[in-house]
Amino acid sequence: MSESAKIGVFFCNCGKTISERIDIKKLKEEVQSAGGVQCIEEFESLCRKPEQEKLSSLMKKEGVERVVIAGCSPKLYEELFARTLKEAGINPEFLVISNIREQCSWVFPEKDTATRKALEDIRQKVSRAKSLEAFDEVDVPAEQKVLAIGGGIAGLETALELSKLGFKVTLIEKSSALGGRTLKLNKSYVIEENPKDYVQAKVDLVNKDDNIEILTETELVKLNGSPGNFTAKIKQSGEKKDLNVGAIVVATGLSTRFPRESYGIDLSEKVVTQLQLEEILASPEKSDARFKGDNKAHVLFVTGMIGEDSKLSTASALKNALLLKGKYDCLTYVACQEMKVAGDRLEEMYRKAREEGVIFFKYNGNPPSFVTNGSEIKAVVSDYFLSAGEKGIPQVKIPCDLLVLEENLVPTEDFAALRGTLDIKLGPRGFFQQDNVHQVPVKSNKSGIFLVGSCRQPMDIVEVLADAGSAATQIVSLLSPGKIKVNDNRWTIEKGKCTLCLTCVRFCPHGAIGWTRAAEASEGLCQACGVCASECPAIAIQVKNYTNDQILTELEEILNK
Amino acid sequence: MEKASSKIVVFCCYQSAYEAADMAGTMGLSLPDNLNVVRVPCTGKVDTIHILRAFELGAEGVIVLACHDENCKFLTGNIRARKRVEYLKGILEEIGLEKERLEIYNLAPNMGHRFAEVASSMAENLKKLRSAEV
Repeated sequence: MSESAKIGVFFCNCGKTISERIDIKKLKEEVQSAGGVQCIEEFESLCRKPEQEKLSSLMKKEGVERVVIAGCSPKLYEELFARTLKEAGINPEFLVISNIREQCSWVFPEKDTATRKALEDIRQKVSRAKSLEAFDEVDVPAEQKVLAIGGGIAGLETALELSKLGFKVTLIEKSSALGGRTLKLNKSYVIEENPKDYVQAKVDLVNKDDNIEILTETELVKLNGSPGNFTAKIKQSGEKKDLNVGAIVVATGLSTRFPRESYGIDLSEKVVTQLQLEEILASPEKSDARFKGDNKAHVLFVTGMIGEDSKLSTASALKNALLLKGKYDCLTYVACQEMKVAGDRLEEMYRKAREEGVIFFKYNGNPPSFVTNGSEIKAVVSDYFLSAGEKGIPQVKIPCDLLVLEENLVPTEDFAALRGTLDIKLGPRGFFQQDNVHQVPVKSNKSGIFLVGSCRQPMDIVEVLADAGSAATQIVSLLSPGKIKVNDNRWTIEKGKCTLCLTCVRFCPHGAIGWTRAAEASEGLCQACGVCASECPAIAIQVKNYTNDQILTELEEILNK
Repeated sequence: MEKASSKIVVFCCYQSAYEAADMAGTMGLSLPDNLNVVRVPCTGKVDTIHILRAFELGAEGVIVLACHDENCKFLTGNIRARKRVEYLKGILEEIGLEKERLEIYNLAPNMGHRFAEVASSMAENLKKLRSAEV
């Protein structure tokens, strides 16, 4: 709070855009006569370099301490003006923008009204400017080292990308070998190479890389600290040790579950999941034994019975139906709700499958049923588009030599524990991803922790690679060049008022608050949303420049006290 | 006093609704002239005390404009804001104010039209309440 600080109000005509709809001269007089403002000046277009230099030297000459700029929306040039203030030796926190262009001159067609509203807004902003408090940005050293959790394709690729960019990476994997689930695949529809060879090549590269340390049979057990300075406790075969890292990459992938309840049939020799089929196809002996012969095998793929068809299961059904058709001339059928072909090459595969004679049923709400008789399985399938009016929907019986069922793609078993250790939030579908336009997809709710690959949503190899690259870029921009800018003392608490009810700890969306004898926030993790301050029952917490007093001052000014 | 009592205070989330208000200007829509915007980093920062104090100081209506569900930059700010507004509506009724005087809406930055719409509908509602009082 500073009533005596020297305040400057600077008007921008915005090249007449504002001045022709608002009476700037009158505004200036009114602001002058209201008092409390030491320096008033009008500019033609403040976003231009020469005008900013003029502003800068004026502010220096007059010794202005707080600045209100009345012009266009802060969404446009707030950062630019903040830099101008910095150059003039004023803390950029002391800048307030009065939006008299978008929110006054453009929404109130009458000049008098627009001028009155602009005056109201400027008064509101002047009172805000008086109430602002300074805080500084300080540099904290950032460890140029990253911990990657998960040795699948996502973890491997992120480690390689980071190593190229000069970071040290510790890659931990809970099983005894690297490679992950991609090793189980027979063929991928997005890359030409055999997935096994593809992953093996990455594993070899990682093994050769001096920047990457590989620890298998290792788990993360505890995490402390903030971006740039995390302390991760890891456990390798019973032995615990601490690692200091700047950022963490979670790349734990997904796992599959066969939902028997959705199908009412058990897995057997003739009933397999999509992943089991991949394993059969991956071994030439097994697949020859099953599909080679004079009698063409009937193979039915079913997707969509466990909810919505997913892109990955559609892709898998198309890929393998085509493969069986081409290699063994099997009679292949696909029963689905809808074809999810929103992905590279999928529409092309769908067309090709129909051309080659794969038969598609879109059951649309009438899912197939399965009749077993000894070892024989018959599927009763209907197609919505073959419905015959009053006669109902005709049903087709397919004798299945092999029934391939879609499985649930679920987070890995240790997912919940890991989530607890990292203290990060889940997205709406149980994976890590937050489907949020305001967030970079690979970022988690906790700054410094990144999510790559299928742990945030089921994805194919190409998407995983894109994720890895994007996470690496984010990490570089966070940790380079060896320091992180952190606001000093923006978050404040009156320790005497804190009763350790921990409401703030529970409500903080970013896991930024901890406690010793009173709640305390890590400035590195705090993103100044103010949720804790508003929830605190004791009103002990304040976030500087959006404190209760400051907001109330604005309200009082709006409502004429 | 007369002047203050006809004001509508709009708490705008800087991530979405503030931009929607700008968008209303860019689109050349007109707004009720008793509207005053308070910029907040997130509607999660709008405390019960802020809203109650606005009414106490004579605001006729208060609108809280938050991001859409699952779209809060700070993940849960909009959910907290909605809970607080719902709680406050009960309090308003208890102290004899109509609960229509306080509303919360979800906006995206490109929803200038919606901004103008909710602002004018609040202004209309308040007009109705005023004439009912007389």
